[in-house]
Amino acid sequence: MYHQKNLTFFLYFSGILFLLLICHCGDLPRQAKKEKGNARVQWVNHLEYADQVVKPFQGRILLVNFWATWCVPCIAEMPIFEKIWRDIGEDQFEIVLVSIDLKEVSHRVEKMLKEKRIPFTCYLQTDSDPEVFINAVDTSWGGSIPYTLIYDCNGEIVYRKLGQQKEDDLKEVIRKILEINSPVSKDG
Amino acid sequence: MLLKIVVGFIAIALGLAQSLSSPLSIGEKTPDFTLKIAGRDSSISLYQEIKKYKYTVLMFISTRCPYCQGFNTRKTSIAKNFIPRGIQFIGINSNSTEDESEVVSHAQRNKFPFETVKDHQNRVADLYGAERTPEIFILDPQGILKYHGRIDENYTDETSVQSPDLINALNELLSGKDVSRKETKAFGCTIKRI
Repeated sequence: MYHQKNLTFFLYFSGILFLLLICHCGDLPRQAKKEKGNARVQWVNHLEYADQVVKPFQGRILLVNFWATWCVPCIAEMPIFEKIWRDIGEDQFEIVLVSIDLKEVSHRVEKMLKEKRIPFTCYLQTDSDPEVFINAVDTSWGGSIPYTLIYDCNGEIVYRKLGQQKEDDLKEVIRKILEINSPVSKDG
Repeated sequence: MLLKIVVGFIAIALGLAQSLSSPLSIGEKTPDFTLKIAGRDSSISLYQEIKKYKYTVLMFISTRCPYCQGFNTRKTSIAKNFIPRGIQFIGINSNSTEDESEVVSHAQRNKFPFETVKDHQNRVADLYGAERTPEIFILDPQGILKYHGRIDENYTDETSVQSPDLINALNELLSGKDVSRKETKAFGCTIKRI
């Protein structure tokens, strides 16, 4: 009888935990507190992308922006990511950057992130053939930048945007995604 | 609650996940267009032009995109190599941010041995689903798409190219073979649409 009660409790508790993992996007571990200009640059290739860039944030909403130091619209839109992130709430979702600059010029990436005081983690793709990386990220992506993806808390792509974004449009999109992924329904 | 989540996910999938432009499929007949040649008073009508050549290479290009500029010498050398072999090259500038005079001076500066047309309001880019610069479409004389993709994989160093995809495709077609790698991808600048 005692064991049966324990088992029932265990199953009940596991079920709740499972549901929280599926639906809750707020309380899983997140990146260390971000400081301006402290963006770190790490290398990533097509084999590592899912595990290194996306998987660590599963359970949270994740925005990934693909950019390069030579891409004028990419640099122009970068400030809106931080602004939206701070406006909506730094604990609501994560932002990660992926530079497609050549690894030989990674110093340019680091310099630009410091100059622009970007607080987000930045990866630098290292595949010599861009096609393998592009397809590992998103087969429907042709490879042009700027390109932005938003992953839901299950690590599924729920938003794609090619080209420079408008702050209000992106903010609205993120709000909708957060609303749908909210752990607590307004009607209970 | 569960229904709301499901409906929400479907709404996101359908509404927020924006569909990217759908490029033409290999083997599909490409759309006709007539566009004014930059810096000239004449136009190019595609369907009339393609009949005159073994194959036609359409190149969506930019005057400013640094990635595209990395291929400028290759655009010239590949065209110079293949024009005498019956291949026609047409540059297409669809960027709303680059005007006709800029297209002309850019072509002159880079000694392009082909004409470039100005695609106002990016109508042709939309018809072809072209997304970036540089982006290549090879058509046969009937307008059938034979290759779509990149020039090669390396925009900075011509001497280190491992996969000269455009050259390979043209050589295969001129040899009467099917293109072995019909679609390729590369990084590039988004076409600046209106």
